Amino acid sequence: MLVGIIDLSINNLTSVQRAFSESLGRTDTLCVIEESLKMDRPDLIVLPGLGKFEAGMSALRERRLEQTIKSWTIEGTRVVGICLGMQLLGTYSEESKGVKGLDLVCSKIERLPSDPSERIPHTGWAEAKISYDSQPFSVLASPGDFYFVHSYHLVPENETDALTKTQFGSYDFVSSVLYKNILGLQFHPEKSGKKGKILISEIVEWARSED
Amino acid sequence: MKIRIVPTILTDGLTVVKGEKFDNWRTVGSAEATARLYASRDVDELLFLDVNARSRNSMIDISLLTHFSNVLDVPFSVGGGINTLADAKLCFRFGAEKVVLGTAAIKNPKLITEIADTFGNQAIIVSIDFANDISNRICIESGNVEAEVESLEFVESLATLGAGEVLLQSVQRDGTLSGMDFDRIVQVSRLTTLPVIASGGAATLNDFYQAVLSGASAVAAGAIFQFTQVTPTQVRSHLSQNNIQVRNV
Repeated sequence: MLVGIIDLSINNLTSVQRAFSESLGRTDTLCVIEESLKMDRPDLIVLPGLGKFEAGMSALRERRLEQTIKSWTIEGTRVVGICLGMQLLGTYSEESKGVKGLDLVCSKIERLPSDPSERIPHTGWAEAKISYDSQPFSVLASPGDFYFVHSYHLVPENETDALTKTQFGSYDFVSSVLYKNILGLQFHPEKSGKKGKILISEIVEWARSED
Repeated sequence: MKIRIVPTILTDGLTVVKGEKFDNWRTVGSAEATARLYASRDVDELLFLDVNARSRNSMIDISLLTHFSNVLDVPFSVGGGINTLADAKLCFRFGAEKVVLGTAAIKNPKLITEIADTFGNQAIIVSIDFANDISNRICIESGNVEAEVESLEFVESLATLGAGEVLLQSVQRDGTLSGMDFDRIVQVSRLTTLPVIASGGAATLNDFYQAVLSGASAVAAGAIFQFTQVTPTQVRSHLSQNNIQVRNV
């Protein structure tokens, strides 16, 4: 299996690389994709990101990766967006008005609502509660928290795309989405201890089962 | 919101050190081994600060950071000598979730905005090192110099400048295991809407609880975890018994 990590240069590449390489087998290949080039279509691409929506999208465009990611996705490559990477999968963001997202998951990115019992940025551990049958990500149905650090969140147009929800004061936001072959995680599985590690191996198996 | 317990690991660039009142540094072990130990204990988050990066005229060592990212599957923040956007970018690339800006943020507040414009507010912690409990004076250059800034106004401006969290430190109480300055935690957490990480002096389980009641979103501590039997897990269960929400491991 070929796994590609998209390197936008604004990310925590080292940690994501460590986490995925730990879950891969000997015959799997992990590569870092810095720009659009001729290569075999990966079975799985990981889009990590840290930072502002606009910075993420311009990095994708400068590296001519926007179209590449879209075509691979249409052809069946499984995609996982992490944190800002999840938000980049959306249609547009309140954070950077006038900047188009990848639009792979019909959605808008909104700022978290202010709440008397919460502070923004939302920083720390929280539960991601599964919205429906959790296969192929059964770890999401088990107890235990994931690590979040963000001020914005993705609001999917179709409620059925929401995989998990997380409580923020009196508000429940969508903390992960699953639409066809596209998975978005607002939290950081690569920084979520043992539970995060299990989720990453489930993501790898999900990509392996691509038919 | 779940409260985070954040062990602080201080380094001199090579080894783990521990000091008192931002001074009297002594070596207490290898940074990588310390990080590995905490990772195996399901710690919430770690804070790495290079205490003499500025005096070496450099920033926290990148090979040290790489070692941390290779062993840590939990989030960590790094600080020490980060002066530019490029410095911050390196820290993120090598696995840090957040950078801690101290002296640089106070001398050049625009740096906060500059980093936030690329990496977002959530990626920046600004450290405010109060000299003591009584006055509002704050220190820079690892506690060596008094800052020429109106500290409380500066705290109020942090959210607008683009910071994501405030690391509230006390030079007087650092490493002393003498209890925390709760009045200061109340004061600072009222002045800002940002999460406040309280640090300095934690000596008992109850100090952590009181810090949370005073308004802290997270409590960072070094000496208590290095020199006593208290572990971050014990602190979490103590808070949980007192109806404070903590991470469900």
